[in-house]
Amino acid sequence: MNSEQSIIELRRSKNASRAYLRSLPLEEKIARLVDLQERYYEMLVLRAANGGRPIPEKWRKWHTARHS
Amino acid sequence: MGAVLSVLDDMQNAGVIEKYAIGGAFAAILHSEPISTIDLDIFFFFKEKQTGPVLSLEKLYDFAKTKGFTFDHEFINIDGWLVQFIESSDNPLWSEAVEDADKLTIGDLEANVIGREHLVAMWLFAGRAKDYQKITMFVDADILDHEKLTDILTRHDLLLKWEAEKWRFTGE
Repeated sequence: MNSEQSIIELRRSKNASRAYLRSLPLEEKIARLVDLQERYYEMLVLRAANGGRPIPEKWRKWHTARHS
Repeated sequence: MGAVLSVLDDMQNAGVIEKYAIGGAFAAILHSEPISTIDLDIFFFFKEKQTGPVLSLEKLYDFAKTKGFTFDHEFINIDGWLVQFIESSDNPLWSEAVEDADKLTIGDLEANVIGREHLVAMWLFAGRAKDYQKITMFVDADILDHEKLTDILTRHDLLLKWEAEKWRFTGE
């Protein structure tokens, strides 16, 4: 597969994935959002633990709200 | 999420707020696909119009106190969701967006959600990178009624900005 075909295939795959996400019931979209939030927060915790930037205040508020 | 919608109904029934509609990234998710966001923006009108020079959200905070919700100057924590309330009566675009909101069914509940074309107009007006990303998401998904969008942009003096910026969203 040459690079142009790879790009076409990647674009097709991305569009199919996004079309699937758009087709989800609203409750499922919200469940996916909650999952995204949890995973993003985990990434922020790891980044901070490894000497990176501290967890943003807004995300700390979110964590307190969600898990208190 | 159902708890948030119930609280919004309670606020209406208690005469605290008149109308409301979900906006921002959360509305983008409902209309399109999941993206990362932590706050839930509620555009609303107070039941009783305020007359002072400075808008006070005290009535919302009083209601939150009676229900035992924690809050700060930015968010009210409703069932783990950081809800931000944005009074919309003084902004013609926001006000129209609330009045003209879509009714979407989430599970057994009905939610007022700002329509796609109004969201695009609001994001275009705000003009931040994250707003333009959401416009691009809607354009890519081909979920906009372009006649309705043009009408809204024209009436709110945003058509020239759209013409100047649309290459960012459409690649044209």
